[in-house]
Amino acid sequence: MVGDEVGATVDETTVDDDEILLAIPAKPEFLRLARIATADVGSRCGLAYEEVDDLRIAIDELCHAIMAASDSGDGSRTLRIHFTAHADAVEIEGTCPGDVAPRLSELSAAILAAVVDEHELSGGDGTSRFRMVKRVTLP
Amino acid sequence: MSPAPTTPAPEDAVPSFADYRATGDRELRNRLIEHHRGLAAQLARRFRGRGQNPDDLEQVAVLGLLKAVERFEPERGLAFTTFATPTILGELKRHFRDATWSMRVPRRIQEHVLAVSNMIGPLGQELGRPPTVAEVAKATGFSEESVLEAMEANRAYSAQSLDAPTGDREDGDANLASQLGDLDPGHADVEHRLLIESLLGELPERERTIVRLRFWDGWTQSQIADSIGISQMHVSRILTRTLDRLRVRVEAEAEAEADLDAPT
Repeated sequence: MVGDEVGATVDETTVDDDEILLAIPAKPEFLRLARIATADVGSRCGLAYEEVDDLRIAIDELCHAIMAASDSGDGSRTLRIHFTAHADAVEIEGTCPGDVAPRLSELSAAILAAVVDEHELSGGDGTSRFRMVKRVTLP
Repeated sequence: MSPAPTTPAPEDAVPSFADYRATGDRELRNRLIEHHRGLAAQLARRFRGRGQNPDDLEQVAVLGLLKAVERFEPERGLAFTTFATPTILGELKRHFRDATWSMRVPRRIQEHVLAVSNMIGPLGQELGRPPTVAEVAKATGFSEESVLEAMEANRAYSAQSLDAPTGDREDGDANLASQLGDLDPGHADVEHRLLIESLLGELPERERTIVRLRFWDGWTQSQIADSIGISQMHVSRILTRTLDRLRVRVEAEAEAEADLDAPT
């Protein structure tokens, strides 16, 4: 279960053994798939049950944030999520086409700060992106 | 074995509500709760056989008892059991209202949710730390996939309690507002902060407390569960739907703001 270093550049065309790529319509009703994949990766990394639940809260927050910035009105855009299981952390990155820079509400920022170790959100250049990391704390 | 004392030692005597009201002493409160615990257990038993864990039911009833002890005013002349019974029953009914499925979830998965929910607390106590998914799977005899499925299905409980009347504004609001003020100044936006404070203030008391403890005070779900006397999965459910509801409100406010800013 040793992947690349946290923060390593993602190659979107191939995946290693400890990586998952998920592409879903940028609509809230498809986030269930993102949560399930998130829970699976978190579980494989050995996160505690409730930490896996934290990770699911985080993916919901960040996906909602970039979907809101990418809103095409008909949900025709694609949200791509890349999951990496590192030896000591789960790293999840997401991208979605969007011209508007995504922003987090203060509430979302507080939530994310409480449930994951790192999170970033950027965009405004045609693609909205997020990245988050949750470290494994159990021995 | 030493002989039983003929007269109760002071610490064994039933404390008076008047003393508790006068002093607010937690030790007195705990002894009052212990003394009346039988009432909570008796009322909890009425709700057995409805698919809920009996221990969870008793915990919920004790939570109602705690509220009754804190609110009881002996000077009004009412017997405590008369006062406490509707409070405890109300807590139990609310628990059931929270614990109904909001969409069709197969019975098998409902049972998995219940079994996983009942396993997490004891397993965590046994291990001395929160259990992993693999450990929950092993303890319940389910596959890890079934445990994860139960985690997702846990979202499908009713969201009715969020439509409950707004709780009183006495507890924690000032504290929450002050803590909001300590958040990253990079996100500082006075109007937005006021909005968040306002939205949190609209939540029922219990939801507001749980959100505050988890996201502002940094408690884990298990710590909150232990403190409030409900299961970790119940805390998870409350957090999930509270956040869903808050998100809808925040997005609606943002859209309204965008409409106002848009050129006519």
